[in-house]
Amino acid sequence: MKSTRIFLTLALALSLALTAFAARPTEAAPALQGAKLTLLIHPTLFAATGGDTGIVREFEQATGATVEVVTAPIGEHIEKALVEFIAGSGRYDVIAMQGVEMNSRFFQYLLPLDDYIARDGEDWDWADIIPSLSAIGAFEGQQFGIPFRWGTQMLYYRKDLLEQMGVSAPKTVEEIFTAAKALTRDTDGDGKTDIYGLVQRGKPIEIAHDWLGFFYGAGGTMLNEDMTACTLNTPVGAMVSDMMRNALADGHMPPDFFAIGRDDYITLMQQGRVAMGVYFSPYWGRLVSEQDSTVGPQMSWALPPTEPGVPEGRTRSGGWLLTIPKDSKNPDAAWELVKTLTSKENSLREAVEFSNGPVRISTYTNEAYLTLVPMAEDVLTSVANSLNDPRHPFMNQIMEVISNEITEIVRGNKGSEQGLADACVLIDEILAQTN
Amino acid sequence: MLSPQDSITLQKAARVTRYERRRLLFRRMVPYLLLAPALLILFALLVYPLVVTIFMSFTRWSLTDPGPAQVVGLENYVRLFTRDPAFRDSLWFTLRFTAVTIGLEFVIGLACAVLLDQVKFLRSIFTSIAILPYMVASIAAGLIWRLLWSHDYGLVNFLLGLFGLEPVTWLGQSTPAFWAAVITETWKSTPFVTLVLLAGLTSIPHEIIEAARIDGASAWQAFRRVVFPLLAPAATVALILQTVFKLRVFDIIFTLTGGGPGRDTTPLGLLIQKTYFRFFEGGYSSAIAVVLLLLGAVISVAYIRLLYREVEH
Repeated sequence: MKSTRIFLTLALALSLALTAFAARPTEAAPALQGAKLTLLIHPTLFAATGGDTGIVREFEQATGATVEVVTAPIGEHIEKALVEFIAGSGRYDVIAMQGVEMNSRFFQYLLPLDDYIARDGEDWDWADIIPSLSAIGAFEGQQFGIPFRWGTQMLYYRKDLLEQMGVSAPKTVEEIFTAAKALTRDTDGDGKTDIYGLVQRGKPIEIAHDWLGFFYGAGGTMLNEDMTACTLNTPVGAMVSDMMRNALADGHMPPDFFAIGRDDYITLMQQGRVAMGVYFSPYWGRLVSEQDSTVGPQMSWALPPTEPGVPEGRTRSGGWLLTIPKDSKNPDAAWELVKTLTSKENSLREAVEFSNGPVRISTYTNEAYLTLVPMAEDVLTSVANSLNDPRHPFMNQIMEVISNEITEIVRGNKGSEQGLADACVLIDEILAQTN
Repeated sequence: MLSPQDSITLQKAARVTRYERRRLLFRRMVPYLLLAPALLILFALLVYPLVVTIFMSFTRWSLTDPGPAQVVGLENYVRLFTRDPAFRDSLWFTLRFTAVTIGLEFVIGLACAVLLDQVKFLRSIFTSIAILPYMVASIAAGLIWRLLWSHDYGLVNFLLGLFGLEPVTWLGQSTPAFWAAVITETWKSTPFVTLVLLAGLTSIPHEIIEAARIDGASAWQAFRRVVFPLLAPAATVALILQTVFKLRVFDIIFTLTGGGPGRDTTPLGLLIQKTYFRFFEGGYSSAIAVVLLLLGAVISVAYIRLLYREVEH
């Protein structure tokens, strides 16, 4: 009887052990087999991961998870995210969000990532991500976003034209507008300008972005530290506005300045119709592209202009972070995707192969990246010293006010001081709604 | 006293009457029953959102701060009409844009329709060519014309240059940008007016016009007194539809000017989109939408009354 009992017990133990062994995934079995994830991302950012054949697909093959990618341009992007946030649907597992959207209104919908970072931070090298960028994804001591793409503004210029005119790369805001005058040329003597000295964007909202780049470089700030008051109405604000207005009025910028947006800026540069411009650092590749640019080899760069006493390279910077909504149905798998997209190796690949704006220190110091993007060191300096727009929940309204008032100033309908004073009155009203 | 036979007959008659009544009732109900699915869908997709939008327009509700909407009465409307220069500018632009484009489209569309009505040879080919612009997506039309209006390398300024005229900063200045938007929209939408009016012209019997001419009416008089009144129903349809399309114009302006310079070419449609999806103000954007709806309704009713009064006269 006793031996039968022992035999049965052993048989049971053996069968349990065999079952457990059989049920255990083999080493080759993908870790996230069957997991379904949805990634909401801006199309440019998805392209910066290699697109349909890039890192997201590699993640699928390596883990067995499937990733549905939903792309949407700015505006529609946040609209899609918001609708799902409010509904609590968990439709998206990973959402790319702009730095300026990382504000108190949105954090309530996002999953804190601190536990994941504590668990995986060492291997994944969390400390390698530029700390000032990581801070943008944090709120009240919790981390909600992982920086994915960042850029600052750089001064791009035609070195051949500057050499011809004996002009050195401008270093201050004042110098850039003086150089614009010297570089504006009628090359065929028909009385019409063939090359404009400077190009900036003047379309609604984009005019505010470019003006703020100069304004921050001149030492200005948009709001006070606790975001309770507008600080635009200063002598440096008036100086930058006056210079912009004069450059347009004197014909040193293209006359359809108010219709120039991102694509127009890039096209004008590629066609060699302008000598200089300050713009987003990740677009360097497009400006020197052999396929698209007629003046690629003549392009050069410098740190964006700053006034004396302002940290070197200070301008307006911005970028995107990857977040996981708190209603995600599969947060663990979502974290694996975030980790993959922001790992050291993939960050380098994204920067080198797909022209992403890097967020890791190791990328900026990598030989391959430095060879491809010789201005990398300057970009890092600028990123470290630049200002991001304040993370105020009503930033879109504030930006609209700045856009309208700067437009009025630059087209001569208002004086600089009046326009900036009006902007501050309206912005203070907006701020009062949240204070 | 009724005989048993009479009683049976009466009972049968009563049953027949009841049956007939029920049949009649059912027959009366059938149209409503058949309409019910469509009405339900219309209610769900049209009436319910409309009622919700109107209700929302009396509330303060932000997309980024969800929760019960706070009823604020007429506050949104007071803000719209007294404290919002963006709305004032946008309303003014929308009204001017609607009036000018409708006027141009109607004149050009009518001329094209009359011309096409006269064409006998290869008429379908000419008609197809005439409606080509209408087949272009608004977004694409905006992008194409954006290049044409460019100051330095646009075709429009090149053509002006051939006549010795100075280039115009079409999209970078307020008044030229308005006209650039008007011309682009007119180019895009005139074929629709042409088609509707051509259909109306085709349906007018030529005998009536001939009779008028025999009676001594000039070509203009025949057109003014005979053709135009008969064209009124088609013209009303074209006007109402085009007015509604113009009042809510969005995509072509979005790609052409982006609402600029500044906010000089921002139609109400663009303002609603901006207020809702960029500022996340659900209640306030609903109030703008309701104003736009009322504007469309008032103008449409005015058209119908004016044109039919003309016909009756």
